Amino acid sequence: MMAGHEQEAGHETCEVAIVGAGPSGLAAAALLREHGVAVTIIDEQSRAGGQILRQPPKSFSVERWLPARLYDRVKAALQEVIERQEIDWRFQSTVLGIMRPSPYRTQRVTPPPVADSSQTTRCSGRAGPEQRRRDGGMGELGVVEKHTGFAGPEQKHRDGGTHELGGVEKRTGLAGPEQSRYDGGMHELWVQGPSGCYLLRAKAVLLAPGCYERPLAFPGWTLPGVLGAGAIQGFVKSQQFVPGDRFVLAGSHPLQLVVADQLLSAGAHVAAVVFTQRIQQAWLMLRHPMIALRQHRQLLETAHILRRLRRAQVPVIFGHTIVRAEGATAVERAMIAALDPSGRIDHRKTQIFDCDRIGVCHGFLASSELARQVGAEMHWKDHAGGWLARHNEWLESSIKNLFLAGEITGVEGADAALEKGRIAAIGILRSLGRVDDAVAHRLAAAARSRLSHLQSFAAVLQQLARPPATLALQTMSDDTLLCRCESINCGELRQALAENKHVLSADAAKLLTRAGMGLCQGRMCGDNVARMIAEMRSVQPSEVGPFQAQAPVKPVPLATLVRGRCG
Amino acid sequence: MSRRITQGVARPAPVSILVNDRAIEAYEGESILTALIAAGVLTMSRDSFGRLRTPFCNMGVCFDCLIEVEEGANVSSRVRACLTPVRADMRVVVPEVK
Amino acid sequence: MMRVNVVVLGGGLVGCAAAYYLARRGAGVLLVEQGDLNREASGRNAGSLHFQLEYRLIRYGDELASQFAQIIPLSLIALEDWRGLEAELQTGLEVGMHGGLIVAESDYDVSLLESRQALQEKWGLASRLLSASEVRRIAPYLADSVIAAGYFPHEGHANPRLVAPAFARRAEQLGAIIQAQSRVTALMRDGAEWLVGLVDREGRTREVLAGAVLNAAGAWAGEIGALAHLHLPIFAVPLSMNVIERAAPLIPHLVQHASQRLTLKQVAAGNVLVGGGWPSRFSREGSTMNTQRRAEPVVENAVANLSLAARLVPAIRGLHLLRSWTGITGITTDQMPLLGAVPEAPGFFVAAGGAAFTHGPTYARLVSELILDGRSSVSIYLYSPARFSHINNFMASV
Repeated sequence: MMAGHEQEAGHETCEVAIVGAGPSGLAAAALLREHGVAVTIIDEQSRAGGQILRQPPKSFSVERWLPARLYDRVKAALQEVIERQEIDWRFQSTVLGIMRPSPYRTQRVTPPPVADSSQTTRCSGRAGPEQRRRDGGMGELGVVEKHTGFAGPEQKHRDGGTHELGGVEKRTGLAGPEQSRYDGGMHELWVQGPSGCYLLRAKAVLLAPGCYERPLAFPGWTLPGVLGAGAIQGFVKSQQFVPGDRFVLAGSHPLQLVVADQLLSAGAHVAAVVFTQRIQQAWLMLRHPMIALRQHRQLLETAHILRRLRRAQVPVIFGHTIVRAEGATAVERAMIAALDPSGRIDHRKTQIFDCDRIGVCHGFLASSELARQVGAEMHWKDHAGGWLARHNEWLESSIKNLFLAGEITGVEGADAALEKGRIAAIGILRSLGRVDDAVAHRLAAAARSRLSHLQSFAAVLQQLARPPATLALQTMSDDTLLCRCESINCGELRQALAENKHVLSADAAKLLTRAGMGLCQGRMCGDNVARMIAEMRSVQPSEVGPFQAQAPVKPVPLATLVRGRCG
Repeated sequence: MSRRITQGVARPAPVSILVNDRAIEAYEGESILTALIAAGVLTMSRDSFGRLRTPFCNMGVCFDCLIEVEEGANVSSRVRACLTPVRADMRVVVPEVK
Repeated sequence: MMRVNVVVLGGGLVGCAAAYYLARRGAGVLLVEQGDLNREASGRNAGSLHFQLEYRLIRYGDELASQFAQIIPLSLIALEDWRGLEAELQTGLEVGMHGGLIVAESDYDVSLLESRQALQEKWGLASRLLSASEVRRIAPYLADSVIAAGYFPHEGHANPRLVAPAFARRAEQLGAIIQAQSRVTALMRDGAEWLVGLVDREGRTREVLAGAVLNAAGAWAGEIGALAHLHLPIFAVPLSMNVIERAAPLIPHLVQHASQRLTLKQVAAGNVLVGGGWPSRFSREGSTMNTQRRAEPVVENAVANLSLAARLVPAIRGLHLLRSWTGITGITTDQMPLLGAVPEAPGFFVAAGGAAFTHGPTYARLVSELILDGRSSVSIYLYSPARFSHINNFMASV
């Protein structure tokens, strides 16, 4: 039976909550299950797999689903855990926030085991009704409160990691080297499920929320028919649906080639695939010794795709960028323009392609909002996914018992995500006291070695896949829509920044202009807002900061919120 | 036109859903967004500025595919069409575009 | 060494407004803000302009309520200030004063409305009680559970995002100097002046001489006071607000509840803001609360707050909560603002505490008059820090 469902008190407790059922979450789940740890997996989609393996609906049967070899490893990982009964799957569920358990409860919550020498955390330590109350009259207080009294500044995080310790560590203190790890480090997830909202306590949380496409704002990008290339791919992979007739793909990421190939084999027309990179650049990178030696499979795959595109007479155009989407009520044409060697758009050298869909693909942004909301330490790494969460060697964030895996530590692809998931899972086992240090290191050795190779490749790919640094600033003309939700044009932000020279941060710009205040909560405009501020203030985007993330990190209907169990 | 891939794909029997007052054919389990695009509908709502919203991400991030769905009597909610599966007899309200 | 007439400490609404009112009179002003302008309570509150007695003032019994009602004269001045503010600052602030309703759902609520009504009458605030049918007529969006309401036709809201920055822009045009991202490290009485030590983000230090210091640091006014070796009994409290997505115009009023914590309004952009003083939570540093870090929301409180809102205005149930946010505000021990000079520390002025959004521009205007003229055009003695002289008598060593 599943451990730790405790609904009577109105607050469920689980052992390990994994946010995101993509490769890293699944790999972590498999490993945790091998060691008998109870796992709850939460994902917004209806099925497991994440974006890389968007599965078709259960009601479909698909003969040859994602046959390409690049999916082999992740498909194997999915196969290992898919629909395993002893995993607590929570699909169509959104984590709205990661909270600290409240010290004031209207209902009693059974406290987790209390530190003493007779009770170590090597037992499962599940917080459940069976757990005896040992708190002598302070039972109404939550976990955090109970243990603050034991706080000792000398107490160290025992990970041997190099990062700075975060606030929670200092805040809650540790009762002792072993048992403290659960008591102070409880997290409470605020979850929107299919039938309402509820709070879910977890001894450890693995944050594996993946990434999304970094949107380029350019004239016409809000015309119906302009989509992310990954959005188009999602329709093909999962829905077995070609969402248009004639496609132009434009951007800087090699994913475009894969999408073009999948569209072709699904019978669509691809009018052009447009890369910002000049072809010389691409070859230079691909001849990088690391790529040639270690990633010959990927190279081969790319060569196959290019051959198939050539055979289908699809123009693959280098050194150009999308500059405009045109059409009366939906996309009818895509205009591209040449980029000079310094990355400037040459508006005299344009070409126009008739099409009804444009897929854009300029890299990815890590879904960092939960990490930022909970206050984990972040750092900025532009073409590795923007704002990323810091971690130690076990992929534990600056917040105790909040682990990270997948793209939130750097957008490095699905194969790397698998390894990160495994390492984080071992980190969790270690943190829960299931394995000791030596065993943990031994268990993690192989995954670490594979990850290190994959990361070297990813670093090269990140360099290869990035658009010119100033591309967004050039396409964001004053009348281009910046914030889709609040209908703020790029020119409005420029003017606000010119008139309010004290505005130095993305948040201050948001307060002034409303950019980022709408339903997407700034996911679509945040990166562009930061770039514009950085340019006008002559600073790095890292100094401008991301928008502050606040719970709920995704909008939730009031009716759902107040219907839930936490009201 | 967009189209569903049929070769090598077995779908359940089609169901009917209403888009405003027009019946369209769709398949249980596929996303509402797929059903709408297949029916030629690309605009999901009109914002308070009168601008039509059209989906971008197809993965629950952009909220541009938020639509109004009615199921049964008087049960109406607004959901992301890309994340919400079609169920028979649902009614979807989208802006009329001339 | 830089020398100014007044150093204003705190770049919130009160500080920015004071910089403006002082600069308008020709005073040399340096405004110092430790973070960015308008980033704390001034920019993070829900923008209510409430002139009736708030629930927090009447909930502790009649005796205290009649004491707290002394705030009403200031509220009536603030009302006039808000009416003229957009013209004064020559910019839109989304000021909407279309009336405020304090709704009752029970006989107990009605009795609270009646005693509030009596106090307000006594102090000259012309509110009135509406029957259920009158409420229905002017506020058809309210649920049937509402059986009466206290109504004041001039309440409303303004946009907190816009007000302080507008004051700051005008102050700068008039010659005020604004230094953000800088902390005060020292406040020393030096002869007839104050020596103010500052350090900026890069760690550069600077000393400024000023004829007067205005402490407009809101929730942190106590810490600024401590730099001058004074006790200012103001406590930081963490609150939370909720913003709901845009909707077609529905709610023209500021809606409050007679016996529960609620403010609800629809702003110019169409968003519905729901607040009313529900706590969020400070993070901890060891055994103390950290009032410097952003407070953390408490899910249960947000849900309770929104449940109440959705019960009273059922039409918002279909809308999305966009985010809950937290802000730290300052509450004095007696709920009255700290407004005026600290008698024990010549040249040291305070303007903080209380309903500092509604009253903020007025605090700033009156305290500026006090600083420059030695008296304000309206007596603010009721709110003077002099009421804590029995403490600071033992603190200031002049």
